[in-house]
Amino acid sequence: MLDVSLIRKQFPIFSTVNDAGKPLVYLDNAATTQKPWVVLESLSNYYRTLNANIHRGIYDLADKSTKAYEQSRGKVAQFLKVEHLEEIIFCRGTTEAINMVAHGWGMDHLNPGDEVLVTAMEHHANFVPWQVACEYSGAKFKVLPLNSDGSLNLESLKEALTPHTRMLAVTHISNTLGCINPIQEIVKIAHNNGTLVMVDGAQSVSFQELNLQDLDCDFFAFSGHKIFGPMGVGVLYGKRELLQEMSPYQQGGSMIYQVGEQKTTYKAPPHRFEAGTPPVADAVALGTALDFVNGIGLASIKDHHIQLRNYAWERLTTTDHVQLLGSPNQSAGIISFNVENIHAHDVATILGEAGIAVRAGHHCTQPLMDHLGISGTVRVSFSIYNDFNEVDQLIDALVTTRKIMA
Amino acid sequence: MRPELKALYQKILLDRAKSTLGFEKGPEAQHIIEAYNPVCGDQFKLFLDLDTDKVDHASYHGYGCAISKASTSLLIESIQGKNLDECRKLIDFFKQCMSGMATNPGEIYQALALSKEFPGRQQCAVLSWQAFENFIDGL
Repeated sequence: MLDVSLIRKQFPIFSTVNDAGKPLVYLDNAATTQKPWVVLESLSNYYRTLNANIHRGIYDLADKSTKAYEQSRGKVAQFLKVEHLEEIIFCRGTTEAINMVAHGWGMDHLNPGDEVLVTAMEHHANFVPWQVACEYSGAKFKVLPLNSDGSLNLESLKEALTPHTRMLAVTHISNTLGCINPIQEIVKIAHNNGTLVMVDGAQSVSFQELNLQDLDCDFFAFSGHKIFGPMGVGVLYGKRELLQEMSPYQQGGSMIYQVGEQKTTYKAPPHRFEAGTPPVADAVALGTALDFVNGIGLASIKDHHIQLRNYAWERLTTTDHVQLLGSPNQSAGIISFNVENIHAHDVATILGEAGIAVRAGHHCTQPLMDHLGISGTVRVSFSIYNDFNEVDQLIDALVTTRKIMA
Repeated sequence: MRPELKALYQKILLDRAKSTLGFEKGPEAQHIIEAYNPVCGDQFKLFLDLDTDKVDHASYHGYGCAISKASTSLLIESIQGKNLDECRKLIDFFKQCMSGMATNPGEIYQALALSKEFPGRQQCAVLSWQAFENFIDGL
């Protein structure tokens, strides 16, 4: 286990209390992670000492700002172990990254008769953009059914792929159930079929070491705020040859090569996809967040998540009237459950009074909820600052919940 | 825990949430009103039969938390037999209770009003009332 007390000291939010005077037990890390001092200082330092628009100013400060931004791109490239810097595009987050591909790639490459396959466990961010791209292009939108426990079935995947399937959209880790999909194997299956793969990496980026060259996926998206970085910045990775032929999702300043009265040409990637002033300070602070994660080590972080997940799973299993969803095998630090006859929001309100922050509802995965035949769950999701004691507090608060709602 | 939590989830609200009174589908109803909260997925259908401007029969069905279910149950029981003017007055009274402005709110209304003390929960209390108000406004 990581030294949690040492880590918590690096996060100022843990010195706060809720309206009931309780210290924060933050178990909603799949929604967003808390921010360490180094990231907050990085943001502040950028605005105090580097603030200038990038890629255009011919003066010292603009040059330094541009270098800081591009240096952060380099950190992301190293973090994801990608080959080419221009394969890393800064954007607002996972949602925008996927929209960039669904619109930019989808509008050019999808035609009537083509198919897009998404899994039933996708977050709406990797579901709706494809649904819309299919509506616009006339392509067929197909949803891959899951096993009864909500996990992916590779045999079903093989059967669902047809000669017309142009794109497979799949999450690396389910944000609701925590199950980890074998992306490398999935990509092989898809590529053997001539199908490209868009991976939603929102939950995997802060859980395990990534090597996108090994995974061989064609597109990969993540958000900075899920890995201790600021909200409002994220990354789209795309294979160089795909990005080179992809249309920009937005047009404007910074991304143009030459603008004529009737015709405009665009820059090469990544700048083609970064129209307007990007979130420079946030991108720089994201680089700092990745340094922070590297300092702890993703192998230790993954181990920490798994130990907490296993402990919580065991304790929840032996707690009366708790129904767990999904499976503890091949899953990350995310657990969904329900308490018998008590709505998830009522559970979350009572846990919230105890200072325990959890997520309740459909978690932006309504197709998965339909598949499981439920309307929502309570979800706990762990990070580096959580410990066993907080799991115990969760269990105690669930017992209290039953008493209050009896 | 703050006393507001127990005051919110008090017996009268929990009993109301568990009550089956008026909890029935009415697929043949003259009017079927959807009350849906996209944030949490809670969803009720309100089934209404109007006799000119009077609520002749009302029932509801669907899924929601204790607060939204209790609130919907209260709405359905309260509008039974009332004409539209009386329904509008009832909605105004409900709004006053929710904002703490009513001089004599009943126990159940007081409990529902406490939802505003808890993040994101007031919407649960007003969900079906808002849908019903929108329906009346559209008549």
